[in-house]
Amino acid sequence: MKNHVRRLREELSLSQSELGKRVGVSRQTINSLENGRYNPSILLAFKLSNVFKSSIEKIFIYEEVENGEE
Amino acid sequence: MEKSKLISVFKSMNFIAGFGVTALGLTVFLFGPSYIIKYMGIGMAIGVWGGILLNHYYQIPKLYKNKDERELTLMIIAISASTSFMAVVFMILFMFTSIGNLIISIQEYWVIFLSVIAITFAIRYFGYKMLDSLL
Repeated sequence: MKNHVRRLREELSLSQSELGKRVGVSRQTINSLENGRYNPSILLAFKLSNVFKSSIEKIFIYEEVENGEE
Repeated sequence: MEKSKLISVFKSMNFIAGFGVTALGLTVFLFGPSYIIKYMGIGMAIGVWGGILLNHYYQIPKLYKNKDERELTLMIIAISASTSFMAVVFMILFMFTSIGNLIISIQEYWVIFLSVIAITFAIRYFGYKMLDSLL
């Protein structure tokens, strides 16, 4: 699943650590999220949505692939 | 999975380990070749519950309250891998010494014990670091 977390974070001039603190996760988790290695829980997605003041659909892009995994 | 449920997984793993060690202690008590070994088995079966309760009420909530869901999931994987290694090695050692005829000195026992503990913590630490960088 692709996302716009890095762009939105940079627009708010936040570091990965600062964003992590705001949503209650570590800097490494934000890094994994931005690089598309980690798909967040719905709870974390809502927290990010609140920080970025944007809907979840605008932050995360769901793409269906052949084997059924994102 | 929510953080509270992941912490419950840690607590469950703690209790499963407790029951495992208790079963091992009772087996030593029942089949141990001498009274000293039998009493060691009983001591192990009872003593382990001190650690289990300490983990349940103090260590687990304290250690994991600042971790997020992803980190807790990776920790569960790393702890499971390292604990499986430790359980297998100690089970083999237990079979050879308590039930079998292998005799090892106290010094040899401590070398094996400390080596296994060191390797277990290394698997846990480096396993977590590796997963953290890959996932």
